[in-house]
Amino acid sequence: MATSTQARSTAVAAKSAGTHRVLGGIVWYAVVSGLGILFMGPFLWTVGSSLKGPTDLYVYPPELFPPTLVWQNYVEIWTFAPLLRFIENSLVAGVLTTLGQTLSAAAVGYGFARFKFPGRGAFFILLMSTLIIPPQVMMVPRFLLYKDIGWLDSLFPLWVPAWFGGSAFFIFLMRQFFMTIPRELDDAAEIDGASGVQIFWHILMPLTLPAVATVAIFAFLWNWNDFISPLIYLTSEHNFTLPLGLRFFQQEAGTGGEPREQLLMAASIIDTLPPILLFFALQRYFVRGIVMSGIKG
Amino acid sequence: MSAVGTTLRTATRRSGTARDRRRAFAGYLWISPWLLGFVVFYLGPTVASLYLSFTSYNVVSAPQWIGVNNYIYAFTKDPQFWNSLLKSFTYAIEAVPAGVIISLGLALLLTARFWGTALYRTIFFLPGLTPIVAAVLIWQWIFDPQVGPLDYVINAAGGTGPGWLGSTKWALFALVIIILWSSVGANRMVIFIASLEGVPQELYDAAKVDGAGHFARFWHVTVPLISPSTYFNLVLATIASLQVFEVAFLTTNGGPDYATWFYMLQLYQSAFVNFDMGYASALAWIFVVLVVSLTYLQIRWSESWVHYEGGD
Amino acid sequence: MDSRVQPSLSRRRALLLGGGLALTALVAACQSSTPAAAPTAASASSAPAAAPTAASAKSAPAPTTAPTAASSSSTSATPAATAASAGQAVSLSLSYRSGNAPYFKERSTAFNKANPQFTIEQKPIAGSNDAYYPKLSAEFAANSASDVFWVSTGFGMYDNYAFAQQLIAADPFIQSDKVDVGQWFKAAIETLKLDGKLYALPWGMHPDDIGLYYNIDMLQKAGVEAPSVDSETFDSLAQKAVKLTKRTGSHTDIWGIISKTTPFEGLISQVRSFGGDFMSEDKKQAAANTPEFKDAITWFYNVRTQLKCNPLLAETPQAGAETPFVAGTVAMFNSGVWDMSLTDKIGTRFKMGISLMPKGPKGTRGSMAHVDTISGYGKGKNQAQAFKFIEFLTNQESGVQNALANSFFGARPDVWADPRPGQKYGKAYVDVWQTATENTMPLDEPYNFRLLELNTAMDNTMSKVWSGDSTPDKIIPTLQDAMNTVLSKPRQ
Repeated sequence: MATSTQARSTAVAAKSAGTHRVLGGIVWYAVVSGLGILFMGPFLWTVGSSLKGPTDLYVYPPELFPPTLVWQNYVEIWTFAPLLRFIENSLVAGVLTTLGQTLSAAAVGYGFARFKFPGRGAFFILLMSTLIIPPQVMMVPRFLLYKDIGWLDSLFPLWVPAWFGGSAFFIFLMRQFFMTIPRELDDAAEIDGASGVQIFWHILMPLTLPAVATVAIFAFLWNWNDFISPLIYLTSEHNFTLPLGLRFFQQEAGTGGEPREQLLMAASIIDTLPPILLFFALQRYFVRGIVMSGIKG
Repeated sequence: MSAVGTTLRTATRRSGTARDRRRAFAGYLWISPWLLGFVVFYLGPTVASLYLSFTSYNVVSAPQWIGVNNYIYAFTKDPQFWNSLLKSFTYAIEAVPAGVIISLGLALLLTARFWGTALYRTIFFLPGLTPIVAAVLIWQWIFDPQVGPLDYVINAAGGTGPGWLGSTKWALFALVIIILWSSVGANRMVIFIASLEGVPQELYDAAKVDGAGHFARFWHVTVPLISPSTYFNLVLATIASLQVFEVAFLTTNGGPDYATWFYMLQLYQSAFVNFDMGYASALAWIFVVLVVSLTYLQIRWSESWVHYEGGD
Repeated sequence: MDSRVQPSLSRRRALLLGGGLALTALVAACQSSTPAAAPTAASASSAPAAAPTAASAKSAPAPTTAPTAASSSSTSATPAATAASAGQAVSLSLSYRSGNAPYFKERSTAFNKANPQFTIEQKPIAGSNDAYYPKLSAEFAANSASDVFWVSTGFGMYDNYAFAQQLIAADPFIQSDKVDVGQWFKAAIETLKLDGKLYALPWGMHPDDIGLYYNIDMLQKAGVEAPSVDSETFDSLAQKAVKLTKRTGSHTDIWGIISKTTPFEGLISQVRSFGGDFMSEDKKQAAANTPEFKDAITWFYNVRTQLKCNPLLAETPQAGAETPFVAGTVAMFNSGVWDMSLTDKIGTRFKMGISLMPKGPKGTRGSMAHVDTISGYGKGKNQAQAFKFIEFLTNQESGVQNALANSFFGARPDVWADPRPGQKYGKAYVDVWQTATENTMPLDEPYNFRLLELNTAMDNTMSKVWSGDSTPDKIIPTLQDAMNTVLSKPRQ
């Protein structure tokens, strides 16, 4: 992926080479790097803290990295809590959610964007309302619902809803993207005899790849970081997901014991790795070339 | 092409109601997964919470019907009800425009054709990935008036920090900073990037031929074409801001002196600290009515500036 | 799952099949409101008031044959559950905050080793109180809580749950198992009594945040004598704090003291030192409008605004005073028993010392017993066996292990007598906290159990004073009103 971007930018750069371009580049790198450091700062502190010993945690003046790096923290976290098991559960729920959410949001978004049917406006408001209902008050009723259908202490509550539209956020996102695609494309295909499903799958989906990639990343990410749902629906330790697992490293207010902050930080770094990799990998779908080739097909 | 499309569409539209009915049916089919999901996963719990809003319910004992008393209490007696609304709206006004503009700015920067954009996008995305338990520890330390790095820098420059999270005047703003840090490079930026990448290069080229400068191209090509994404980001940023909860809950817990006592915090405290689940449900329904009206206004307003290529 | 709940379940399943899926949640939410619904009817038979004796007779084959119940304060772990050994294998589920997982897993293993017929299923709840109680309450609503669980008084929900009859009534089992309640501190037992009845056994107790930890090196450098446990007064402490405070320009490099006035606990204990309290005798009204209350908060106001040896609210670290103390920018700080483990973070950078907050003008030192309990599920099966496990988790060895793992010392004199915690943390810490714990005053729960809500109101109102924006004189009427607003709410 890096190579394609690189090839592109080299090509572009070659085309419009000149001092203007070089100057622009210098300014760009300066601005972006400056902002990057600002954004990375707190994250770097997480990395630094994850390598500290208990006595390095709080010193003044502040120290980003300790004098000696304690790599042992990254060994200890695996024995302190069954992290591997938590990661496995998170991955299962995350992958199933991502698949279901992407497919169902695209289909439903397509329905809202391209079809006229009685009550569409009302349904759309209803859809948006589901984003607005504070999740806190649905917690107890949902818990009882899942108990009745026997889903408690299983991963079902975490991923099954994603196959049925999941969060309205994603449906709304897909609808917005479908609406930016000229209607003429559908009409032309329809005249050629394409069915609704064919138009959806062969014409529009390729054009909305950036949106699909966005949905996939966010669906995975939200599921990955979701704390409340797993907290409420999972009770056995072997079913826990990673965000629950992280709390094992959290010290209770009002109790002491050996400091664990450095372990929490190390576990947090492990926690962020899968989403980082996914984000990095899916980025190529945001690149203009793919969108364009779809349109020109 | 556009002219052809229009004639074509008028032609098909004239072709009769049988097709309309077929398409309406197809529309229902396409949205049916969500409809089913809505009925199963939302309707029941929602109806339950509506019912509970007319009861006194502490979760562990049976709910007792008390009519509209919860609503009356909220509007007339609860000492923090109006304050919590004020705090949530203040927060939204501070965080939404700033957040959307910064996200768009970052997205514009990161769609420039330079080597390394992929890496930089990931860097700006990172804060959104940091687990909240870790992020809170980090920010409490950054804002620490004595040993934190922020005040360390301010002191070195000869100033004094305002006390941040512990200050009745600055706490809310400090929370805005934390949220901006974690969110401007996340969802919103990615949606803007995806949208910016979707603007056909031909339009820029054509505008350039017509002699449009950088700003003119941005204003006349980019802004209208990404307006659906801007609208999307705006609506969701507003909803998310009014629902702001976790960051305050984990840092200031509403204080000091109710300076960060957001509506959702009030709701959460009622539900799971005071265990007045009935009252919390009433607060939820007041909130739903409020935000649905607001979203409706946003939808109406959007018709004047959001540009859909394929809308009808 | 209790078999008695079955009929209602199948009825609900039928509804579900009939297409009423959406409404099942509503039905479930309201099930307990319909007197006819099975779960309530079923649970009524095991209501704490009458049933425990019946329940124990029914489900425990030989509860009364426990000859050496855990009552004896012997260090042996075995006697606790010998009674149940006559019976068959029993599985008990155990819930606690996940941060305490290492401790509870070790204790479960020990219990299982001593009583192989018991298996303990771990059901940790991820997170702190903010996650723990919502989850536990949801489980009560669904009749699916663990057999045995941790729950605390004060900032916890012990009284609320006991009042809602969700906890095993302990007295019948205490009688049948011949448990000697004298093995725990009296203050612990008194704090756990609701209308004279016990619903749990005490697992841990602390006398509140009345400790005063100090940086010995800093005191020596400034030529300040260490604060004394016995003879310190509030005035002399303030003078010491002033001497220890160091400034360059407007920036304070070292604070003499950080006192704990948020959350309420530190404050109330200090008010008690001055002879006041925060509620009336019947726990239905605020008592903030007394001269003693005002004297107490005036001291904390003065060290902030007049003497400037204690940071104002905006200058106080959000994450607690531990961070700057460990970093070496605070000379003395006011905290609880658990912070004796701070030496792990300080390392060799400086030496830490321990004292207590001063006694008040009349020579008394205020305090408040915060008790953590191990409770059992009042609607669970195997209650008699569950109680055996509760006895085990509150015995001496479990208390010592709690002290070692969590620096939380427990509610038993014999834990303090054990040499191991002293070896780990240093005898000085253990001695000071032992004195404080032995003399602790009980915790007062508001009549309507809304202690947390009351705390929120007090903290937010008082923050005007701690930030210097208001004065004790001006704030007291406001505080009194804010507290009464909460205290006048109905009991729940």
